[in-house]
Amino acid sequence: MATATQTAGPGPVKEGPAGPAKRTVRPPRRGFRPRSLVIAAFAWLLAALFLAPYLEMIVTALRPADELRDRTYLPDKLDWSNFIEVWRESSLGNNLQVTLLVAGGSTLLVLLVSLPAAYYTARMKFRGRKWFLLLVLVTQMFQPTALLVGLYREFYQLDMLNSVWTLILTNAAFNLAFAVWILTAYIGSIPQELEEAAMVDGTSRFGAMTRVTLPLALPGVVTAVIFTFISAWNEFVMGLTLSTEPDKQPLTVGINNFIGAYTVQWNYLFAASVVAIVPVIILFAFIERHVVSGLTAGSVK
Amino acid sequence: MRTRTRPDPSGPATQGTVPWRKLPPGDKLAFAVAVLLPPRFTPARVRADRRYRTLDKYRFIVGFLILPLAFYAVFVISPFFQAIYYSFTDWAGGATANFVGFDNYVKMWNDEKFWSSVQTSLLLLVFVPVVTLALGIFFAYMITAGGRHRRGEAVSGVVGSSFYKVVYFFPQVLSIALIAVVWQQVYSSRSGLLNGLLGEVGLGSLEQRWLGGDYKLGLFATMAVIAWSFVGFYVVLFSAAMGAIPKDIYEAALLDGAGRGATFFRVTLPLIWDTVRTGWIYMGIQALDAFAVVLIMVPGHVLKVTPVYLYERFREGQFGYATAIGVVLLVLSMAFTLIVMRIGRRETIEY
Repeated sequence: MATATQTAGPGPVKEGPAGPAKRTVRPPRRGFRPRSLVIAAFAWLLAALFLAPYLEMIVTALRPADELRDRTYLPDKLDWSNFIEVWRESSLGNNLQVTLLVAGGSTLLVLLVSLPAAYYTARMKFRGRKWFLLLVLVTQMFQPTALLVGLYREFYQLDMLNSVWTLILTNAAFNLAFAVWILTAYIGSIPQELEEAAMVDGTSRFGAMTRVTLPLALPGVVTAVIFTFISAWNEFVMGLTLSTEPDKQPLTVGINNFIGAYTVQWNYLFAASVVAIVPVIILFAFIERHVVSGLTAGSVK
Repeated sequence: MRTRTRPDPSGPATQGTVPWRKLPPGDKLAFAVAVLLPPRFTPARVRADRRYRTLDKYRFIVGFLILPLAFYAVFVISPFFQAIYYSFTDWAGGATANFVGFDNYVKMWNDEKFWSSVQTSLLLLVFVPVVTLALGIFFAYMITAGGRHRRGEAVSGVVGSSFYKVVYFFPQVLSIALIAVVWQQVYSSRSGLLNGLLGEVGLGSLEQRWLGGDYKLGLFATMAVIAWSFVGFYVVLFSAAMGAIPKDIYEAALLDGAGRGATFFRVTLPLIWDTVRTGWIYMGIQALDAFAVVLIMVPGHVLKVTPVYLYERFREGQFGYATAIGVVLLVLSMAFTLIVMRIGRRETIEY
């Protein structure tokens, strides 16, 4: 358990008894500090730099069509009709449905496949364990773009282009490595003695796994699930190449169909983008706490 | 490796081991179905057999690992080998694929547009990780150790550090396709945010057609977007790594009279070096890809990266040629990984 909690970012600072070492620490300066003001201003400026594009996106999504060319920051009136029109005029509804199915389906699949594998890899010292983990790591290095034609060929032969299943399977395959990796680290940090105790008390190996280890590994599972979901929700390359019909494409690809060869319908484009980012933001707010511990479970002691 | 492939002959498992031929047919059947059944349905006599134990072990391996391995085989390994195979053919999407030897690679060698895309990709590969990681380390250091000294703490972060972490991390959860769309608007020369802000603060003379045609400007714009979208990930990663460094080490450094700079270069950086190296490799591979950003945001006449060039050939139906480019991309990313592993190798410091 110790490793799991230690990795959760900067923990509480030890408030040990004030030994001689503590006294030599310089006392804080009091009063006006221009230096920290400058740092704070700088940090706020940076935060603004990181947030400005999103504000721009939301403002443009609410901008009436006749004000698109104005160089004002805020439109005279907010126009919610962009959302309604983009929904009615384009295949956005279908795209949203595809994305939901793909993200949900591949997350479920990843969980079903990676959880047993991670449990096994963390618990057993089997022959080829190192090779399995290396394989997992190496496959993360492959760029989807480089594998694109090979995958296209496979699904072309199976006659599965333009199918939701194709996207579910590829997204699951590309996110498997990360999930296995995180879950292996997480389950490995749960003491095996707990399972042994449960088995002494009479449960089977399977019961020890499902009733002792898995509940303890739940935070790791949540992290893996949400990362997979977000990553599948945001996937672009496979959706672009393996689906060619506009209503079978995921949201990220569908949105880019608003960028025509000569004109870009900015207000529609950004209204659709807002639709695409809202679920991700909600999920992110929900797991923000888990992000750090989950990401570093494997890399930091 | 600790697995015993052969059970100890003196062990209890050997009891009741009868040669396979002499086994009663019922037991043979029990062995055959034991693969699919939970142990409690297998007769105790069979369960005591050491062959059953071996079977049980492999059943576990098969049950738990076959699915992920199958996934890798079908969707990662197989496309990889297919890519290598089809890079030696003239496959154009139909049923026929003739073996043409190294023709695609020769064509690539003489293809100037391909080389200019490689040049752009290599520039991204070299500069983007350096810039992104440097910024990430800097922000992470500010967050974990940049604040003023407080009583009883050797190091402390700036006020509101968790807020900054969330804000910087934010682009990481968005689709890179959406990021490209948003930045296309920010860079837009007529109604873009960037030119608008420049005009606002009196730097109107710096207004540019950012993605209008100049190669260098386009390259910088691309780099900025990739760095912007990834820096938060590294801030979170590095500040977690820095937070794991025991505070005693900082206190000791402070006692020895180390300033902020010395503390950073002599204490913090060496202790998080492993994380930095991993991040460097990951970022390099991301920078080499840069597919969505360039495809969506940058007009084709300004610059192209190799994955975009590959995609265009794919769209034209030159599948054989496109796979050959894909193979070169994979070789490039592996070479990059090996080089970084090599030059980034240092003695690991345990603490």
